[in-house]
Amino acid sequence: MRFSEKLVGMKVYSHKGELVGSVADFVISKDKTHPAVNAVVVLFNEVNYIGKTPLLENARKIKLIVPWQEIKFQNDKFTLTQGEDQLETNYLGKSEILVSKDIVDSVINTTAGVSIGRVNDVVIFEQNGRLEVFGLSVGIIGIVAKLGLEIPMEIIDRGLGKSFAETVISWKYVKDYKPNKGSIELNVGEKISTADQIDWIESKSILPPKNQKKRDPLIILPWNLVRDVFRKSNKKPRH
Amino acid sequence: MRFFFTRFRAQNGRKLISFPRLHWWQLGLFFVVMGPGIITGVVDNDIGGIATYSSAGASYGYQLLWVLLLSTIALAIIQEMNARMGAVTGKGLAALIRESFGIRIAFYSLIALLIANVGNIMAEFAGIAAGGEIFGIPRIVSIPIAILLVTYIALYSNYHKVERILLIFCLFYLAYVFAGFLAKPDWALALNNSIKPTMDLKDVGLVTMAITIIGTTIAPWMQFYQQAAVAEKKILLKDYQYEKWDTYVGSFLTNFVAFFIVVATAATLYKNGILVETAGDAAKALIPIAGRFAGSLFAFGLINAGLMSAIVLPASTAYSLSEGFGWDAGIDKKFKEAPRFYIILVTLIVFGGLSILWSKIDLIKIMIWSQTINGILLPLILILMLIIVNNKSIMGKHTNTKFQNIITIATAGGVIILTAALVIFTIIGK
Repeated sequence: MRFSEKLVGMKVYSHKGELVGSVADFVISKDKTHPAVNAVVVLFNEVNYIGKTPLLENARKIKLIVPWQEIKFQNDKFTLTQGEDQLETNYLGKSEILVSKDIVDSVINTTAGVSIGRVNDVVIFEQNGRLEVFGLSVGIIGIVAKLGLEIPMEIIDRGLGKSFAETVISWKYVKDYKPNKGSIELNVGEKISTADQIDWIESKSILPPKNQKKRDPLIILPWNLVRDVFRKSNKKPRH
Repeated sequence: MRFFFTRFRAQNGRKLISFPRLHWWQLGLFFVVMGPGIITGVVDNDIGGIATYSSAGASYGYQLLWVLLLSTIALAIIQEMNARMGAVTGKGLAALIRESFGIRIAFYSLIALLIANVGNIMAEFAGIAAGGEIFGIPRIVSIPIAILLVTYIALYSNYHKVERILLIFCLFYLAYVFAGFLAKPDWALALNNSIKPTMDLKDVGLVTMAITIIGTTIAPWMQFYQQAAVAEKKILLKDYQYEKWDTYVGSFLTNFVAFFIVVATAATLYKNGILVETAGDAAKALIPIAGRFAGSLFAFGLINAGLMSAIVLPASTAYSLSEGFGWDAGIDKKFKEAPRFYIILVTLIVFGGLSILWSKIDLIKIMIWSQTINGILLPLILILMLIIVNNKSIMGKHTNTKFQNIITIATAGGVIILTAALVIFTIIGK
């Protein structure tokens, strides 16, 4: 499980092992339960060819979509499987969207029109050599990781001896994505009965989710919190 | 004016300026759309603003009136961009910043806005307390009433009702105009100084005051509030021309009222060599010189300004935070529909009021701090706004034109340099 923003910016190497650019974004199909990364948007430092056609002049700092078949992800390293001159011209498919550009920071709405919050990050994991989307991070860890406050977080995490948990809305709840409004619609009503959680340590490895804990409810409204506290205090055995 | 242009056209033989025919229904539409711009402009003369203008008038007389003209133009240019962004996207500024620049920039700028606004909200309640005390109402009575009244208006009405109430508050700002007349100022000198810039650059105090006036007039909460209000009022692009005029009228009103505050204090306090630091002191000092009635008008204006800003500033903060984090927001929504928005709103009102009531805080220090934070935040917000307003994928064909960009970049640049100078002066001054 890894935040997409930690993968964006990673270096991309040619099949000869030379640095050619960095990861700019990921392309996914929005209509799958656990969408796999179909392609990687690579920011090339310099290209001589586009769509196998030689260019009159070298193009610098150019973003190209590289299909997953032509890229390899191993040991936190993206490598192109063939020469840059063999890269085809690729476009976004109809149901394809970009992780960083389109999903991150969008508003998440339920079918009841209740806004849950904004997507702090997209959680991605690796399975059988492919990157797959796990869900939308909406909790505090996603924010902290992006604010550059990871070191204090790490210290608190270790000091406490137990890990912070991050609330993640599984992609299976995603019903639609509206690019114009910049919002993601979930196929649930007011409440989501289950919320997946990943912990701080888990958010740093690329491995698939291990023991998913389930909690209820996901949308913690202030009175829910108060109600839960009262419920818990009621449950205490009386002496 | 019309006669002049008509004649000019006749001599020249070509049409120089054409006057569009205004229909009565257009005026009606303007009255429907007006609100966000006028309210933002008028609330800009909050307790901090009144204190600054009073202090400017008391310390330097009519000398700095021309700065008001400059700040009117700068304010109008900046707020117009917000109105346009709100009408085109239907989103508030905080939402656009989050979506365009990510959470890091959005989070830190919103935290800065929150801190600066908390300081300002405390000042608003201090103004209400000071105004009340002039009428013999102790703060232990006035503050709880103010808290309850403001919370009631914010909680139990829809947006249109709140807007109408705020527009009525705007009318009461006329108190300052009357106070200005009662002070019997030297109108010829005042008008002359309003148009003719005079500045002794060696006088550090004068330069700082000039910058402070601009810094007080253009504050980050205004950009957040007006755009959020335009979005909440669902002002569409087709009605944008009216919203533009709403903005211009608002910017004019800001400095129209400010003019009379400066004039009132210049004609009385400056003449008698009385210096004031807070708006309450100015009202108290006015009574023996300009008479009980003028002083009372000034104090009444203070209470009015305090109450109005005590609604608008917490609302601006609540709108911005909710938009930034993607929570439901809006005065039109019920508490259950937008709980976080209302919790922020009410917490800020109650905290701001109670802090004045119970603790012996150094309000001037808090104001200086919040002004410094505003000064640091404003350049960032202006730069982000310029980037967003020029982004075709957000603004479509309503991005800034080249001419607009020259004007806005020059204005923003000027404001950035002045606010940076103000921050430096404040830090050195300490």
